Amino acid sequence: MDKEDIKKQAKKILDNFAKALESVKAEEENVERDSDRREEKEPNEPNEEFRKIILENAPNKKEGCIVAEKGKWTK
Amino acid sequence: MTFVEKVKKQLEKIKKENKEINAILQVNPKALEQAKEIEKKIKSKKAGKLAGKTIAIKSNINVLGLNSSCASKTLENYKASYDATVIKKIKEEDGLIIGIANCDEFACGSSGKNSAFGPTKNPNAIDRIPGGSSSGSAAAVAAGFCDLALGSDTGGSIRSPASCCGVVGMKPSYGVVSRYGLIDLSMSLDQIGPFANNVEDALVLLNVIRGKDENDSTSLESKKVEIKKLGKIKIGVPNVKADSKIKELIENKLKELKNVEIVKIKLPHVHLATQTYYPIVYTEFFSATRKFDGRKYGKKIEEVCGEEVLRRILGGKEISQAEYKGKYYRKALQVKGLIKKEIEQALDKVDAIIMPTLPVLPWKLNSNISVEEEYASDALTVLANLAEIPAISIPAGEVGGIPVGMQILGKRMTESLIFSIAYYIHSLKGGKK
Repeated sequence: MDKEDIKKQAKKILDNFAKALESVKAEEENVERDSDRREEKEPNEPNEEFRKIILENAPNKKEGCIVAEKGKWTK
Repeated sequence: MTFVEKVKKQLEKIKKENKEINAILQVNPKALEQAKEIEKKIKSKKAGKLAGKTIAIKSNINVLGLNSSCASKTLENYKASYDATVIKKIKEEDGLIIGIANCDEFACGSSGKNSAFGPTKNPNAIDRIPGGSSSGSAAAVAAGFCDLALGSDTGGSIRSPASCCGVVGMKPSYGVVSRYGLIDLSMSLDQIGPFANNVEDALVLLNVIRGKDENDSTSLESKKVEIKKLGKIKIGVPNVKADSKIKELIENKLKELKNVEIVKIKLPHVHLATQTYYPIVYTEFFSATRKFDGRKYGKKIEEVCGEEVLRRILGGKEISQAEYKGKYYRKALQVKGLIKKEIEQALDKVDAIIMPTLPVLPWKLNSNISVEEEYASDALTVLANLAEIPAISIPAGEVGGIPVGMQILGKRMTESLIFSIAYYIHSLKGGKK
């Protein structure tokens, strides 16, 4: 199946699901948080093994830094 | 047999039989070395609660130094740089990680066929699917490659393969187990849970991995889960759509129960569970996959993923773009609330609900099942995820030599009660104790 066909199929499935739910009367649930503050925890201790693996996983790196092209996602 | 001898035996079994079953994607290269350390602790009586147990981990859970590929080409060479909270807890209690288990790619599937590294086979029905998405975890336990396994359950991904492979699989209440280090499918529904050959072993593993975690704000404090002696209990049985032979098997199993009142219950919107579940999953999965852009690690997901993953990404993108109308995600969340309320109301009148885990028998590996048919096979398992409640699947028997699971669902945070009921039923004739 090519990408366009998969997209069409996904849309069809979702439209059928939306149609099935359309007439159901249901109220919206809201979750209210007790606090609007987020506690920041202490940062983790530097971990050399973590750093080593992160760099191993990176496709492009230079002098201990990961080289990630800006805006590549949108291309 | 010593622990080291047991580990050697299991590793040999994996070497010999995994080519056929394909449950394990990576064996822990340090397994034997670690087993020797654990054995020393066992001998000196300083070992933790999981000492002597081997555990396979679904490949969407980070295990430091091992390949958390999510059974996808996207993360084929990705090495986990930290331990998920559940893994940290297992290691603290001297559990031995024996290997990384196969699954449907990024946990997208109910068959175990969607792995980029080949389908997993069902050790107890070799020509049938093992269920999914935690296919390798269930198959590894069923094949005797390990004692226990971890899976993740978003809409039945633990209970479905447990049912197909004839083992015990449990999804805890949402929040009981930390999701930190789990590569998410749908963050509002995902939970990590145990697989085992019996109810007691599943309980031991759950007790080790549960608990509040500062790295997962949705995690909660919970009480120790215990198997208790049951008094007279009331079980609700809804009328659900399922294969007549499966229904008959479950009904017969229920007739064996003593000191149990069986009542029929109604869940009016249960038939809309699948239609409610998938729009939520598509949307949250699309969002979750935006990090797989191939810049910092792995490959760009859309360029290498399989059909089901691409379907969910493209569908999720479509929903996100069209969401201003509230037609898909918002509506699905509203109906989720309704289904949750109906299940809670039903559970106010009974102690637990019992139904088949799956409405159909595991289909043949080579059969052509449509996407819609595969989604429909989740109809009974997604209920527990939508309602955020605990559910356990235990073997109920066989239909034509094929394992069939029964599902026990309880109120939120009543893990002890459903484990107690599961223990009682599983200990009856035919259960593995």
